[in-house]
Amino acid sequence: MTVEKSMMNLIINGDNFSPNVPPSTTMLDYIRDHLGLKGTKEGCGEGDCGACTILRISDGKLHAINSCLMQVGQADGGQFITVEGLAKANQNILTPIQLAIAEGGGTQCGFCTPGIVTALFALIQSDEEITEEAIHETLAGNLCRCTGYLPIIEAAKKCDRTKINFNATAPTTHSEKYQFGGQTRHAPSTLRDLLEILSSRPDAVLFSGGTDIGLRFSKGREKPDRLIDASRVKELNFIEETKDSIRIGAAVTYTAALPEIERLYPSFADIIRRIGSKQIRNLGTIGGNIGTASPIGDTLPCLIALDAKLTLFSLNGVRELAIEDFFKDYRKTSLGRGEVIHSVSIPKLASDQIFRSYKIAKRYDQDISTVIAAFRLELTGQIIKDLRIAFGGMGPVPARSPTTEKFLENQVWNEDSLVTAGDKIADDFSPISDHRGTSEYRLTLATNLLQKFFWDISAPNTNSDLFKS
Amino acid sequence: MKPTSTIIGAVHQQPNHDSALKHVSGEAAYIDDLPAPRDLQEAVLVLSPHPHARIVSINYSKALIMPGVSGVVTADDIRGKNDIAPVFSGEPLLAETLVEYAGQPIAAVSADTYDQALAASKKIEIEFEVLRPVLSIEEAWKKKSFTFDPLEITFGRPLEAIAEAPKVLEGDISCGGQDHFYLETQISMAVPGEDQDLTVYSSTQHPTEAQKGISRVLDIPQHCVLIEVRRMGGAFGGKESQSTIIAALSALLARKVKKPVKLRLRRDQDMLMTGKRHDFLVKYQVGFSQNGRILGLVVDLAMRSGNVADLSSGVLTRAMSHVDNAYFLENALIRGWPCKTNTVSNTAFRGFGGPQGMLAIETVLEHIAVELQKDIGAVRAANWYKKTIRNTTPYKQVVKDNILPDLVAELSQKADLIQRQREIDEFNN
Repeated sequence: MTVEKSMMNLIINGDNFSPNVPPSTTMLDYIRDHLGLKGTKEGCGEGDCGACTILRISDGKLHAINSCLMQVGQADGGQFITVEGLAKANQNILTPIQLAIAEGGGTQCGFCTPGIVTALFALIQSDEEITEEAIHETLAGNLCRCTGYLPIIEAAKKCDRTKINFNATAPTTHSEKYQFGGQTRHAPSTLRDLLEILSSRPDAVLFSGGTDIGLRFSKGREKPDRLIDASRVKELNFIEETKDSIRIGAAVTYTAALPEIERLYPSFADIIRRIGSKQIRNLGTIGGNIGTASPIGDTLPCLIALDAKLTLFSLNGVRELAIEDFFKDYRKTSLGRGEVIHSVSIPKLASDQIFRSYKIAKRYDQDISTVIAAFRLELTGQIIKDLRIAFGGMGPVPARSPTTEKFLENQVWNEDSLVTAGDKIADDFSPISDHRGTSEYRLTLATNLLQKFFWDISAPNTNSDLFKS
Repeated sequence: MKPTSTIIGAVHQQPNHDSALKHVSGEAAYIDDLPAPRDLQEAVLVLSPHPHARIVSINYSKALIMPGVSGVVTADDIRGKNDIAPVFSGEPLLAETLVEYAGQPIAAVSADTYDQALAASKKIEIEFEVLRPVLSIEEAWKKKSFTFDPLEITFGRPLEAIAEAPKVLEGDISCGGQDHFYLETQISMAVPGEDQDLTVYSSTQHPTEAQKGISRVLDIPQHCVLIEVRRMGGAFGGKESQSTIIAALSALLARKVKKPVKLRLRRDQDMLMTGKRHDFLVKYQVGFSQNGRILGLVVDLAMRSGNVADLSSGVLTRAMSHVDNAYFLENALIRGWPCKTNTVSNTAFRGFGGPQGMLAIETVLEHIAVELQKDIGAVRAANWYKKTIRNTTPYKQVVKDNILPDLVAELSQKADLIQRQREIDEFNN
């Protein structure tokens, strides 16, 4: 075990700080109220509006994050740039994206501007090609109510690429245990330590990215006695590929997993790109999405349809479980006391297997799903040999539709079969009615998505934009 | 012609926003970014959880003994008038014995920190006697429950014209409201000065209204209240009258605890307690000719005013006076119904009723076009205001300098409208 320090260390805009605050304090409150850096704003306090965007430097790259969702305890040992730090690193001259936005009429009320500037700066400074799509993806997590975005997008297109040196230092070590104001935060580096702490402190709040639980601290202003940050555990931070499968550690962020998922399951990657925003995906983890067990967790139906297996660890040993058996009831899982998600193993698609997933929400970006559907199909000629159908948003847990699957087994792959099969979905699900949709609407969506799947496979030349939901 | 480049702010120039460089650098200071005055208190509001209820009792003794708490205010602390109505009167700042929407402020608590004020706010005990709410426009309309007297414009002989028209249609349309979602939530910081003086940093579109409201609530002369507005983080109408509530509450607390008080609504409270765009229910009856010309029209515009009038009279008037949009209504009866519901009082929002009124007439024209199987463009053109005849609005203003027919002709030609329409029709057939 490494030495426990009783100090947290941060580098913000090149300066060292040792914050003496309760570790669940949000970075937003810390940089505004303690450091007096008022450029970063609070618009919503829940990671939706992006006004609080700051940049984290890791692996020499800039990652936009929502400072309202990140706790200081999570930031410990890290290096960050706020809007004030951009010019500071550029010999006190405003950076090209700042000038382009200012001179191109990209600000009106200006309140969203620092968040937009920082989010776009990460793109301008990256190696990514600056396409219209890349700009939209970058801005999906930043709300602007005045400009209509056009002048901002134009500014991003016109702006010169930058390679500003932020003097990224070697990562400072973080404190594995930090206590302040009656609050204790553990951030173990090894799985063994994590399991030991968890088994002795089952009441502690366990999280990894904290983009869901973080709302309890940002908006909810909760100050729990004990927190366990699992994001630094080495054994949970890996991606391993074999001939037949890919295994992703529970603490791997969506952003880190995305390139691999894109390569193996492009349709799944489309869903991941619609989870929150870049800011959220840079913090949130695959394991967190599984562990939080939301009925509308976006990755879950995909993982179920893909027949993924979970590996769970506790001090008593290791066990493997099909992910579909993991979800017991609304936000209840089969995780035992002192047990954690280690990784998820996803079988690769065989050459005769097809996978598609669809997300329906009120907005394209940055929205909670109404219904998510995922399908894995195996055809023999025109006969359905195997079809796994999974839905989210249709019940208290994400789940397969066994009646529909059974009905379609050995049926001919045509529109009639799928239309008829659509009626069976109601045998498996009784969705609730809420502000995202009525029960009837959800059932209709699920039925239509099954047909959409058919047309998507059988008439791929149809303009896919028409299908964009 | 050479542009005159020496004229500053000339039409052909695009000068920067005067704060643009400060916006992008993060230096532009909004109220929450200002240096805190000594002993600054943060405030949190207690809102009604019920849309309609009688307040039986309020007990805040447990809140007062919470750490850091400097004070609590309720309607009882208002020395002046508990009324912040911008147009009419009788619109309370804090609920007295009756709450009329879920989200209505009842009390405010201040403490050294926001978290302390929040914790204390949860210790305020309020006993309610829950009453039945009126939640829909339809129900309020049927009950003739209004926030002010309904309005009416009559032009020509609409009922007779409809009776004599070759064709008649009836219909209705509803349109929803909208939250302003200014990125900077409502905020105000009140700093007591000498004697009765107060300096109030308010994120407001209407400093005079804030000054008037505070003066009335605290019963101090208006000249004692200095409203300071450097900039707002968005407003869109949402900080025209609604910001007075925030400013007056911070002032009331500051006066009571004799310390500077900042009230910054967090997003959820902001969305719950402040007004939005009015949703409308529109019913119409229209008589028209075979070529789609409107001969007589009766339109009823029922708006969700909310619990009080606020600026609804202006919004309703604007909606009614925009029903003509670009069309001559020879015979029209336009009625406005300000429905009082147990929901948050709606307020100014970009367009201020104009969009809702225009939606009404465009719906009528679409309906006629569908009925006659005619192109909507042709139906619109048959009804345009003309230059010298058919050029008086229902509110009897003569439309001058009417360039609409020329403008549309030029645009149609430049946009190749006929060819495009043909291609669309071919694609769809």
